[in-house]
Amino acid sequence: MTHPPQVAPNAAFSPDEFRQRAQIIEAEVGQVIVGQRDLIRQTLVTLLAGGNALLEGVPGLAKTTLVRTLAEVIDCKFSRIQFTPDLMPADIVGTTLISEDEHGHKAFRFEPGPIFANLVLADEINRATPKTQSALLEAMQEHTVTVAKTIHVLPPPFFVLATQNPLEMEGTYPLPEAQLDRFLMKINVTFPTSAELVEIANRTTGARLPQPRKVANGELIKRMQSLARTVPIASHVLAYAARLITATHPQTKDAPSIARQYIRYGASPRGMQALILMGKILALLDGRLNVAFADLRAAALPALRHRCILNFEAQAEGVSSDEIVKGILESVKDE
Amino acid sequence: MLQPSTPHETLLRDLRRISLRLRLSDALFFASRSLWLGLTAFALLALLGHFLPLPLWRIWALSPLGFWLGLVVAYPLFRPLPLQRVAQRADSLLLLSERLATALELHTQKEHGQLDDLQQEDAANVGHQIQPHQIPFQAPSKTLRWSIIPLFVGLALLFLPNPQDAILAERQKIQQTVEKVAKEVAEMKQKVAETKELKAEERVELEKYLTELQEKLRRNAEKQEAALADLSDAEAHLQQKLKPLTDARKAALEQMARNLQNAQNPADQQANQRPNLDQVAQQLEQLAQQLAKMTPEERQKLADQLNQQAKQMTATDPQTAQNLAAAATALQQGNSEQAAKQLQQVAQNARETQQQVAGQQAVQQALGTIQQGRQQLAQAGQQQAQTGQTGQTGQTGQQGQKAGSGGGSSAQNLGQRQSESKAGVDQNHPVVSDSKGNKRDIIYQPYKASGQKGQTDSVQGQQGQQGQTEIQQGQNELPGTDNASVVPYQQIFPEYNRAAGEALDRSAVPPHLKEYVRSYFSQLEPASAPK
Repeated sequence: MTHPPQVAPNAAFSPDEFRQRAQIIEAEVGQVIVGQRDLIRQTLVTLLAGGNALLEGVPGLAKTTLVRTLAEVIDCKFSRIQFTPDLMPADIVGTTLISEDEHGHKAFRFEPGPIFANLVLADEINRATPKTQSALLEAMQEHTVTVAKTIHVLPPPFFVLATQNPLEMEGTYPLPEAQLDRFLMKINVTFPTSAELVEIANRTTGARLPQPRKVANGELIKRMQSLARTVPIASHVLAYAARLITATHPQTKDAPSIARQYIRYGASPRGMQALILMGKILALLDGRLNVAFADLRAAALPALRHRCILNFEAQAEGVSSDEIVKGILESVKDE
Repeated sequence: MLQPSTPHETLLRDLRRISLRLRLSDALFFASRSLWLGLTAFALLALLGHFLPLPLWRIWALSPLGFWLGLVVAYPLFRPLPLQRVAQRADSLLLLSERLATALELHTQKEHGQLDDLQQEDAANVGHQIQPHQIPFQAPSKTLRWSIIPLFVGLALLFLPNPQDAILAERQKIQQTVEKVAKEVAEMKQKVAETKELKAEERVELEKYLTELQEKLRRNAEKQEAALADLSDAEAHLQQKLKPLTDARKAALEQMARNLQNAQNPADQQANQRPNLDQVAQQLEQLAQQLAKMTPEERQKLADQLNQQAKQMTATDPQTAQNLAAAATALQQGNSEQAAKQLQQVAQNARETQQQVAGQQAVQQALGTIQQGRQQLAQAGQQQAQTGQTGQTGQTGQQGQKAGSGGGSSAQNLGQRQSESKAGVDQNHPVVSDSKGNKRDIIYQPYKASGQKGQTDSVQGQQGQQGQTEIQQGQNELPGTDNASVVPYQQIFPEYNRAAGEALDRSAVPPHLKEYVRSYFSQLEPASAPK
């Protein structure tokens, strides 16, 4: 087993090291997950951006495996919450119990829930009630949990990865817009190709299962997150990101026709934050020290697809948010 | 040149190199995009030059291309292209992922991030590896292809024969003619100023009028009709200045002097020669001094002669006739002093007549100059009209042109003008012979649009010395009996000329036919008649 590098708290972390370490993490995850390079890359980007991701895909596409493997690779605490209709918020954030010490004194003691981990897998999140779903809001945004007027800070790095099944919509509770907006990106998990299926079969049905190495740790991830935020971005690139966000709002004069026709409400400022953060990390992963238009374009789909609230016409005509975001990318010029 | 010491300086130096290439690329792109505009304007103006008589139409047609070329040259020179923009465009064209623009912007920021220096160094390295020729020249081939059409159209129109060139040449000829006439008017004004015989007020008035005419002609140098109208007005004005009886008075005075000399000295050979007015005055003054020495018979004889002369001069010079009659009466009454006084008054009349003749000569010279100029201008216009008719119908129209081109014989008082007039008679006055073999001058030969020869009107000229008409003063005072004319021709001509002019102005007569009428009256005017 490879040990993660020992990183001093104030040690300088260069962009090259960032890229190399990210490649190593991707490679280790790739030992377990066959194909799905975009999924792995976007999940890693979400992790390095300090955000949360919503994975949407049919069952059996290794969503859970991915998160579990990632937790192993970065040597972080992992917890899995299976969302069901009877799941209560306390089941997630924890609860206060009366406990008696050895001297017979009784006191309230907070028992942390599964949310107190570095990587939290919220499996089939849309099967829980909105009340339970909303229990994640504070944790996802502020990385804190408030129980009985007490604020509990979650251990950094904190990363929620939620999954939902797009097929079985019976008895589900679609995530509200406020909840969706908390996810840095929504990743569509695609079905593997035939070659990948063969490789999956070879790897998972043999006598020896692949074992990923620990190539990072929480401290390293935090430093990588810090470095990512220092990537410079030019004002005209920033303006392009702003134009992209503005273009998702149908009531603005610069909105393209496809946005006017199919979008009910566009992306929030969080969407722009997501674009920029993802752009910065993509730039570093690409070996650059500045954000390019291409980075924003690459980040646009996962960052905006769940933030564009479609209207009835789009749903009736079967127009997906991906098509709309692509249309916006085509209409908004980068110069 | 100092080597750059920081990545930012290196980047600036490299961006300046790239900027030059970008400006050149922009200029070529602008040129290729806008070429069709310049060529289309070129073709349109060339086409316009084939339908409208535009002076210097070739230069006008080429001017859009010159303007376009100027814009193409000025565009890269004066178009603002800041380095930030250069960096952005280089990033875009060379796929540098916004490296250069970000680095340039980072340098201007006050707060520096952890990666700023590294980023600028990275951008400087990338920028240093860029060669300007890596920036491609862009030319929209579709636009260039479309530019070929107006190019060929314009070139074809430029080199194909243009029917408007002939019209433009005619116009230029008219302009030159007007300028030439204006110059002749100026020379005439100078001659008038040098003529000492003229009265001061007459000279000033004539100079002023000629100056105004000169200015009008220069203002209307390109307008044939206006110039013709100015000349016609001037001609009419000067016609009014002519005193028809001046020549008659001069002739009568000279004849009177000759008759008196013949009567007193029949053997004198000089009596057959007509004396000039100065000699007439001197002769009369001598006669007045000799009255006291004359015998009564001689006085009676002189009184009879003076009476006879007085009767003959009643029509042409009533004042002189009255003085002669008074002198005759005084002689008959034996009052030689009164007779001498009256004869001296006649001598004074002769001197005044001589001054009037000088003034008339100056006016006639000016009139001749104006008439000649008008005829030259009219000829230029007729040629233009002929060109237009030929271009439209293929008819030559020469039948009507000859009658109108026979001008130039009006100013016979100048030696130079006389020679021109004679030449003009030979060349421009076609002569026909009637059934009896008499030679007649064609005075009007109208042009017919069908090209057929018009009906000829002719009149028999009176052949005097050197082909000029001689004025004979009749001996009988009764009109129509033994006189050369019932009413002096000079007296009625201005009225007829004015009436014809007014009729031409009122009637819808083609311009070139109007000129025939004017030419007709020009040849009949008294100024063209010999003394």
